[in-house]
Amino acid sequence: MASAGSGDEKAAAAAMITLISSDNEKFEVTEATATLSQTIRHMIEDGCTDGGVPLPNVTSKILARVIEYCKKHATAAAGEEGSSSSFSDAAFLEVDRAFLEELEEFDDAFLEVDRATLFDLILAANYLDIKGLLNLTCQKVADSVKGKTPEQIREMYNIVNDLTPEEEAEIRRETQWAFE
Amino acid sequence: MAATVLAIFRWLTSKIFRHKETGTETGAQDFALCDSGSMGKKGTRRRKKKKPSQAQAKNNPPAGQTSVHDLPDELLDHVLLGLAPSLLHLVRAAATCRRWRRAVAGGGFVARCQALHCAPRAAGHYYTRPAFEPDDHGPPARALKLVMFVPTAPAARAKERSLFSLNFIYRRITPKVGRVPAREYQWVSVTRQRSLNMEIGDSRGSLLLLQTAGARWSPDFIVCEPVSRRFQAIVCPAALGHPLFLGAFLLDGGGADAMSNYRVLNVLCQRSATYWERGTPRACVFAPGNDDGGWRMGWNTMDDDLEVRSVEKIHLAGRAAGRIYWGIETARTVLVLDESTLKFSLVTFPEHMRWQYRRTSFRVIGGVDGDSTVRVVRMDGQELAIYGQLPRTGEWVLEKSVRLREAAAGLRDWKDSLLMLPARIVTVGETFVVLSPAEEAWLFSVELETMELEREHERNWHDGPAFPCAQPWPPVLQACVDQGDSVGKGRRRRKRC
Repeated sequence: MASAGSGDEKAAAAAMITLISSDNEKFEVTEATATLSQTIRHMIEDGCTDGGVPLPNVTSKILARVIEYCKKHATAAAGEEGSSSSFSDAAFLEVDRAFLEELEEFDDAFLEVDRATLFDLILAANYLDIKGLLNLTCQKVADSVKGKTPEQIREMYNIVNDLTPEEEAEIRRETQWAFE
Repeated sequence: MAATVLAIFRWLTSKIFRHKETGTETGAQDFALCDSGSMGKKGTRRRKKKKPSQAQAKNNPPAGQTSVHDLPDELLDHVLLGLAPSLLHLVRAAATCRRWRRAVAGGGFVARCQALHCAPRAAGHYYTRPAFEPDDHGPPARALKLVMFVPTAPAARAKERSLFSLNFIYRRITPKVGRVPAREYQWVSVTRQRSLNMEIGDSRGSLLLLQTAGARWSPDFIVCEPVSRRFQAIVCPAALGHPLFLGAFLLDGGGADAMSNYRVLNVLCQRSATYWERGTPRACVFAPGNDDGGWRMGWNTMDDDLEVRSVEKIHLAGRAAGRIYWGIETARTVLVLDESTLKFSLVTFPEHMRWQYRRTSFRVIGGVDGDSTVRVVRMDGQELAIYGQLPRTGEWVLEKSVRLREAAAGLRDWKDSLLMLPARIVTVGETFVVLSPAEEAWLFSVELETMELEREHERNWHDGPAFPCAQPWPPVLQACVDQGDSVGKGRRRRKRC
């Protein structure tokens, strides 16, 4: 991580990792980008990345999006580390805030996907163990549920209501206040 | 009189039993729900027959797209945790289907909620204030109190106001409120049964403790959780006789569900048989539940009884650092109850702090850093003074003081006729004191950090104490969680609490 902070060219020259999606598409990424995933980081540490890292659970479409996310967040992390030494405190805070704002905007735009893709991203983030992406995507789903009635949630996510009317009545009775 | 009280409590208890019954069993007869009419017997039969195929068809959305059903349990938990700490969102999500309900009601989820440290802050305060007479023909103003809920976040007012509404206990009226801006969310503390008059005595977490208004003797109580609309009436044990009432408090019983884990501490004073003005303080504790529930009297075990003189002149001065303080006006001593040991003691302050501890001039609050120290708030003529203990020696010293008449002169609506007499303390918080001139209700507060006076804050609108209240946390759901493999989980969790 620290070596990645010194500049993209050096890191790129030093270590490129090949990721192979389930449909055999190859993606070349820097080590700094790839190590946002704990799963890949462990593979790199174990030295078993020669000849590419096969990711049989992730399609090329989703992997491309995940890499997009990792690239952005890896450069942001690198930028933060670089800036901390060369700016005064106030300036650093300013830069820091700008970075965070930019990152937030990126995240918002990144999440503008259809539901199926969003769930694919959650599964991929979980498989690759990318905490930030997992939290981001799960929160997106949670936010979409907020303020909805059970009926609306079911409709939104194609959930069949497997509760009997009696059970439903009982549930409503227990927490009647939530349904008024 | 006794007959009416009995009748009322029969009504209340019957109500509770109905609550309890319907909470655990499936008897749906006495609740007409909005959509239960359309789902008749027919619907049940059809659903039961078709359930498996229907579930399969619907849970596999078209074109093999990834959906919420493809998330393993731990990821579904992760998504649902994103709804915390809003109980409302969680409860609604948990009514979606069996799987989601299991996820939210599971012991693991509750534990993770607690671990998140995202327990909601107090959603707002209940304020009580004496009511002006509703109209010339209405009930007398004597024992009436207005209760109103003021949410902390102004944006969420409408929603929170209805969530924290006490309309399951109180009748709503449109009172004349005098100088206080008229608001829609006020109740007079007359319960739906007109003659039962309850006021808020204490609050803790998501619970409120209501007690018979203006009680001189041991009152009856209602413990309620406003958000979940649950309540339990607690009748004062008949064996008590008529000891004087010194105050009642909610204690934390631990466990997830507040309504089954609270305790009520009822502090009384039993008059001496020989000297009418003397008495012995007593504490008794009520705990809900079947095994060791009910009232437990503290006094059979006490050998070293205290005797308090002038029992008519005791008043509650504050609760801080695990102790409860009462000032005894004429005896110039302070009665202290240790909440953990339930032992009473009499404390005499040093010579320079031996005043007449009146209700309007003496209060005890917590220390600055919320540690085990306490501070004393004293209204001394024109001056408000704060006393504290030195850290090493424990010596009591004057920490801060402010001369009110000079400091108040710049405030809005100031009149020169105010504050000629000593002000009275309306209520105290950890960081502020609300005061009013003796001449008329003209509330202002003193920020203890800076000793600055101000008048605009919400707390200055209500001539009475404030009781913070939060939504229940973590969520505890019991209906329909004992199906399939979650049976063990649900039961075990309930027992452990």
